[in-house]
Amino acid sequence: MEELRAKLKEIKDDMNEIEEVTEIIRRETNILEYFDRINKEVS
Amino acid sequence: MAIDSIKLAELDRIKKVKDRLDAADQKVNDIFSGFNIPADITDNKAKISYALTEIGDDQTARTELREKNAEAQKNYELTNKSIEEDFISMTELGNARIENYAEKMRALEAEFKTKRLVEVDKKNKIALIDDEITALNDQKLEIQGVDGKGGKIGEELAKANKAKDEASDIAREMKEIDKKIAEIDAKITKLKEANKNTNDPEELKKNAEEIASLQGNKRDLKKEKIDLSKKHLEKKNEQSEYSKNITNLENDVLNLNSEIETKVDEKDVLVNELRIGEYDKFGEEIKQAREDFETIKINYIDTVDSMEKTLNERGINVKVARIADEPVVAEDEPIIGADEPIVTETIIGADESIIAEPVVVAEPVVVEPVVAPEPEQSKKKNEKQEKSSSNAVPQNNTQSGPVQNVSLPALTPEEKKRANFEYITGYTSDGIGLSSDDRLKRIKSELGGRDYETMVKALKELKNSPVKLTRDEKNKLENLMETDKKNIAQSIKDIDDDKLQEICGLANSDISKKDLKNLYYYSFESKNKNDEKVGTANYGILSGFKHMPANSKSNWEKIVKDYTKNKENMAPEDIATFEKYIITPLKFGTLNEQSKDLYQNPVKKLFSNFVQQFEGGNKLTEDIRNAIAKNEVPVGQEMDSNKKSRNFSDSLKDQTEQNPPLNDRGNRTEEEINKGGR
Repeated sequence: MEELRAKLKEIKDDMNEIEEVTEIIRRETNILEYFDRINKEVS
Repeated sequence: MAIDSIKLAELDRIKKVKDRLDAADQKVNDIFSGFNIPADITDNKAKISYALTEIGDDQTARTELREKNAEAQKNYELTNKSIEEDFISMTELGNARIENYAEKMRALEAEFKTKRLVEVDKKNKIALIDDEITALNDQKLEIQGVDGKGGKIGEELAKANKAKDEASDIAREMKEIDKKIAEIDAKITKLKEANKNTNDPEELKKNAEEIASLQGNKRDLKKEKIDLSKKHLEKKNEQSEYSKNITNLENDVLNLNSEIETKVDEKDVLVNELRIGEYDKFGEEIKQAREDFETIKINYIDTVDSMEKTLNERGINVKVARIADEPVVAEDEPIIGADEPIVTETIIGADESIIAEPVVVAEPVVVEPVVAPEPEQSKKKNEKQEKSSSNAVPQNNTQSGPVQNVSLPALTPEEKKRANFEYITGYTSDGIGLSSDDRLKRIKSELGGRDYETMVKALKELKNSPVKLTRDEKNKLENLMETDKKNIAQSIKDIDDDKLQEICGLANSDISKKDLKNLYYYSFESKNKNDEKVGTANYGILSGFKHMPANSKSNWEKIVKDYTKNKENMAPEDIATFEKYIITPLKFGTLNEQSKDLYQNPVKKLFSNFVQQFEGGNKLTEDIRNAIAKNEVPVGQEMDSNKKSRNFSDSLKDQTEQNPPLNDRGNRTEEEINKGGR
């Protein structure tokens, strides 16, 4: 059981890493959207 | 490079991107430093709105804001020289992780199921021991009775007492006889004394006659006593026999007690080892992890979509590889949790209903972690792909899947049977035995006006229902399906060519209708033209795979390799076709069946030719794309089909030169059959 738990933990860690990647892409998107929007709004 | 090194490199990349994003965020914050934005407004978009409201029509302020923004943007894009490359790199990383996770999850679930099955086996053994203990106690009860009453011992005791009472009665009768004999003796003595004191001849004669009569009575009584004494002995023997039986029965009880003790000890050992509750709990944890992951994956996909859209709007034409938007584990492969008990044999209830059916558990799949792809790979992948809106076919998912699936361990016969059943017929075999009453009624109603697709869908839905079908209901359902399959098989034979193309999922392919019909007959009819258990032409194609000899595996691996290599250049519908007819059967081991005869047939060659077609077709697409870019061909102009390098008709023609054509009925000619070749 402990072995299974360890594997599940490893999988959950992987999930966190995926979330991290998602978060980075989201931040990139937000910043790009921000620049675009302010350019559009202020022009 | 070792996996650890790759991971370290990835983490390093993530950290760098994060640092860069932090710096960009800071620059953005600087832009708003001149505004009185409330502290609780943290979202950049909200800040923009607030700042614009504050500026109003102040053109000077607007210009200043625009300049600050341009500077911040310039700084950001200077450090982030290639947003496109960065984005693709990130998505590749995410895709790889998701695939990695999915493989691990599947392996973990398989391992869990196997281990849990061991626990369930213990539980079943305990139930078996309980049954044995109950049976032993029943035996005891049969011997001992309740509270010392009844039972075999009671019966024997009653018989012994009865024999004893009868012996006592006999003894009493014998004593009465002795008493009567004594009285007779006394009378005889008295008569003899009287004879001594008289010389009267008459009296002497009378006394002598009376003495003789009394002696006769005495003899009769003695004889009667001897008979009674024999009966008394018999009753005493009976009593002794019953007592002996009682002793034996008491010994039986002692032995039963000893057996029960042994069983209880065995049970205690198993109970101490049993961790079924723990496994149930862990099963729920795995389920939860899977659900969490599905949410994370959806977020990931949404985020990638959003980024791609943003980049495209900025004129950066990026289309990245995506993971398939499919569950980590197929819905028809549920993890076994607390609410889904595993059984190892079919359990039939007293009312003939099927209470539970065996669960087939696969051996754990050993999965190597997926290596993240090189970012450069993706640069070439993008433009030629279009996301298919009608299906969720994996695109450019070259890191795992097909090739790995080829190396899956061989399936057990039961698994093969189930996989064949599910993937060839479309039915969910283990779904048949599961239904709630309400759902059953609904499904039966649906099946009443059924068509094939509706029926398959309905049967798949049966799966998660907690209530089981009775055996009778199950038989009826199976008969219903069998009838449908026969009808469908017949309708395939009668179907027109256009419809057949559509059924095979090849409506838009280059395969001519005639070729397809030939293919169908080759693969379906030539296998067993009377086999009506199959429902669609798909079966015919799949049966080709199913009967691939095991030693041809390497050939299939090559085909899959070619497919993997060319996949990035294939149209989504072509990928869907390949996945459906090759990857899925490969995944479920249906290539490893016996029968070499179909190996040489057009089925294998067809898919080799698919690969060639994909390449040729794609080149044309590329040509047209280039022409459009140069404004040489108006958008929307149809491609000249004569330009295609090869099509299926050509390739089939090639192979039919080696393999004589089918006759009008789609069967091989007598001459060809007699030759023994194809």
